[in-house]
Amino acid sequence: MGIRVYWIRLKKMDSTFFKNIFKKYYDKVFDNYKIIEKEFDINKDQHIEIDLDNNIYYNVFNINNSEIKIKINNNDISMMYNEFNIIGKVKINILINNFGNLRVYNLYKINSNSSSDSIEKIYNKNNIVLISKIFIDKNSKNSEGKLSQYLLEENGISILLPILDIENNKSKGFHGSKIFKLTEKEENYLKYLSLNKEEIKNILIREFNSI
Amino acid sequence: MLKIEGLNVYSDNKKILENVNLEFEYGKLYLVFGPNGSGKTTFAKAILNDESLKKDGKIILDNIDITNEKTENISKYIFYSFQDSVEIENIRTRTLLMYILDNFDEKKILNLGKDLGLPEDFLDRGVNYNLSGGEKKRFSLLLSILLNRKIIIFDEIDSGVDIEFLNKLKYYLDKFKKENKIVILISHNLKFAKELDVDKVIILIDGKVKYIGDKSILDKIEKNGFNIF
Repeated sequence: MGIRVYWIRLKKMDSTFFKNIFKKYYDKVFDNYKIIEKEFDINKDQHIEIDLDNNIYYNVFNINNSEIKIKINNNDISMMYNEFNIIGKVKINILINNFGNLRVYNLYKINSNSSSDSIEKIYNKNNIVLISKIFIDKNSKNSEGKLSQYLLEENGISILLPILDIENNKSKGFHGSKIFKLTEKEENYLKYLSLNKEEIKNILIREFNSI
Repeated sequence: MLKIEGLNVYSDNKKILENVNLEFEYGKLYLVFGPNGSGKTTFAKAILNDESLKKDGKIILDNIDITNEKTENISKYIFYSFQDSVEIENIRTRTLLMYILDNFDEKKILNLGKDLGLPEDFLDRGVNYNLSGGEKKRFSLLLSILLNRKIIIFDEIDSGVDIEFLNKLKYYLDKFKKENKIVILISHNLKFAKELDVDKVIILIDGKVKYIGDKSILDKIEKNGFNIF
């Protein structure tokens, strides 16, 4: 599969945006990468685990009235495009464990009379850029998209870019984010309650996992 | 016994406390009193070796030198109730208590919280998060009860609270004394302080201990202010 196919395919998947955003990385790093494409039709609750290697991944998830849990593990330099086509009432829970260098673009396309409640949890120990877009086009009426992002970072660099692209006024989009990080003042307060740095870190991880 | 010997404390190269020598015995209530900026909070934080402070002198707890011990280790023996408690949104109170208490008994904690006037859902909130000033003081008192340390330092826990809470506080100060703890109350509330069964009053002015003695001094301060020192 060559680069040409790659861009043709991308064109169908909000490709221009994806290409422009990650072009810099693509040119430098991904030229010789394999492109792995998958399409999932999901009609019942499912759990999917994806271990990333040095590849570019395209995933299309067609989800109909179901809940999907996706766990993504990355230790390498990887790039990922996930397109979620939402029909009916859908819940999406994504956990990204990143120990490498990762670029992700999640596109949530919400159809008419459909709603998605998406949670993205990112545990980052290295470098991640995550772009997440809720897209409701002008013909999709009475649609609702909600995106909640939670980030726990350990000596990592994280860039999270949420986008709400709602093209008609009969639909709604929501976004919220939370970073699991403590200020120096907060850490100091916890020291006065007999907690050391390691224990404080463990508490934060526990809180993150409990979402 | 908690002994402070020749304690000098500096913050940002400015001397805050000078040559403080004090002894605290178990089963007694001490009132630390003084005008704003006299070094009362710094004194408490120096005991717990707050890393923002520089100091010399010695702090001895039960014959063990804790002067340079880490705050998180000293606080296993000494509970310090902050004047301004920090809000931590990302850690729920329940999780915190599960970590710091030897026995986490949710029912008991909820009952105690209710008795002290904390919101019903306080365990599900972030630590001190969205609590009013008075509720934060209530949570501090709750921590002092649950943690059961041998020394308790309350930093202005009696300010900005209602009479109902002051009555509860008074009850627990007496109870802690009976439990043979060292209780140190830093206060500005002269009226409340006079109602307490205080064993010793320590007056701090400009970082120096100006008085150690009984609480009769409070009447004189009420009448003439701190000019008598």
